Amino acid sequence: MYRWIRNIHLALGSFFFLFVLLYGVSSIPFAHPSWIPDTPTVTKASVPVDPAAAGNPRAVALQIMQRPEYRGMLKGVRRDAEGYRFRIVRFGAAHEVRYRAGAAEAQVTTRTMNWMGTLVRMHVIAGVKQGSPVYDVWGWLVALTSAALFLLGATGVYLWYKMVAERRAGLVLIVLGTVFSLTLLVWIRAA
Amino acid sequence: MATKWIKRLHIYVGLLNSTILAVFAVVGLAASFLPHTPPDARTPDEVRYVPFEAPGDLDDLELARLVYEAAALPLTRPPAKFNLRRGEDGLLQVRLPTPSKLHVVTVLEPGNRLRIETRAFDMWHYLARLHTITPARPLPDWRLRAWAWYIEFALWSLIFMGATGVWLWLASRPGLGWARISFAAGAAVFALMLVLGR
Repeated sequence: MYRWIRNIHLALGSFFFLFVLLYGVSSIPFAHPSWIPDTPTVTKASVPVDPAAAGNPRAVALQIMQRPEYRGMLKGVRRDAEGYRFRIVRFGAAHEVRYRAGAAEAQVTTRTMNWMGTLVRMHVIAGVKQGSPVYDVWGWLVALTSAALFLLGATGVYLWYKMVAERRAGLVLIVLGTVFSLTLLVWIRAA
Repeated sequence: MATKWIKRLHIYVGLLNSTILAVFAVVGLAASFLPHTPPDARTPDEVRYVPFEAPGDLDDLELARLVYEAAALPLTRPPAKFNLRRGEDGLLQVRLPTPSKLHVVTVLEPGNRLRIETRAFDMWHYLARLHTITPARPLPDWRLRAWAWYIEFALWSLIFMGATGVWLWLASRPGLGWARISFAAGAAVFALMLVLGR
């Protein structure tokens, strides 16, 4: 049993190492925005659109997304009196698209991320039904990483418990961590 | 000797972080499978009224700051411009979110009072909001500050546990074939997603 659990802990840890590291490293800009700026490079462009096939925002987006540089997921679709606005996002870039009804081109503002910005995008993109095969696969990987975190924790606690010499110190730490965090969780929830 | 201490620290840090790791896991699973419902779409859990006389010589943001003080809602922060809205009736609304609730305070200027609508986030969204709290922004309440420092500790712990985990594997069982394959497969999938998604 001990050997099995130890192997499961190692198998999960080795497979999901980079995924877990991603969440740790990409959290740094959230906690310390000035340390590693993830300021994007902003560019603007006009992209040709066939007005005859631009009856709705998705139709316009699909025309634009056929170009490789504008591939990604369609998000934040809005209609207004003049036309449509939407975003096409992927890990490394976000395109803000403005299309005026009847026009032969759409205005696209592109924010290209640096490496930290890309990691941050990977951190925040989740969901198994995003309408894009690549990001749906990523969504499943996020779900699996989350499940792996549970299992890594559970198997880790088991492995610690089997180390008799570490039981006392470990018990103090797990009780300390649990009481501290659960107290705050309940207290903040109730406030 | 170093490996023995690294193993000990790996275990201790893991035990201290067991709850927050579970929170991160729940947040990841919720973000993967649950739809996001805007809290405004629901009926308020609570509506109450507080007497309030709006001075006539303030702009919206100044008035919102005064409303914030008068409402005295726990865990809220002073409002910024993006917290202000005008409802369909033209009345000023001040949105004061906390990790667990969204308070929408409407200034009823003709009636000299505030209407405070409160909607509680469900448990999943509560945890999701909680996991984003860091010391990067000023927090008005010591409970939130304590939680923010816990998150700070957790993020460094996550990096530390990943790095020491690899160390312990390489120090104790470097020749284990399936572990190498598992590591290589994970790295390959990650790299592939990075290339395809970027």
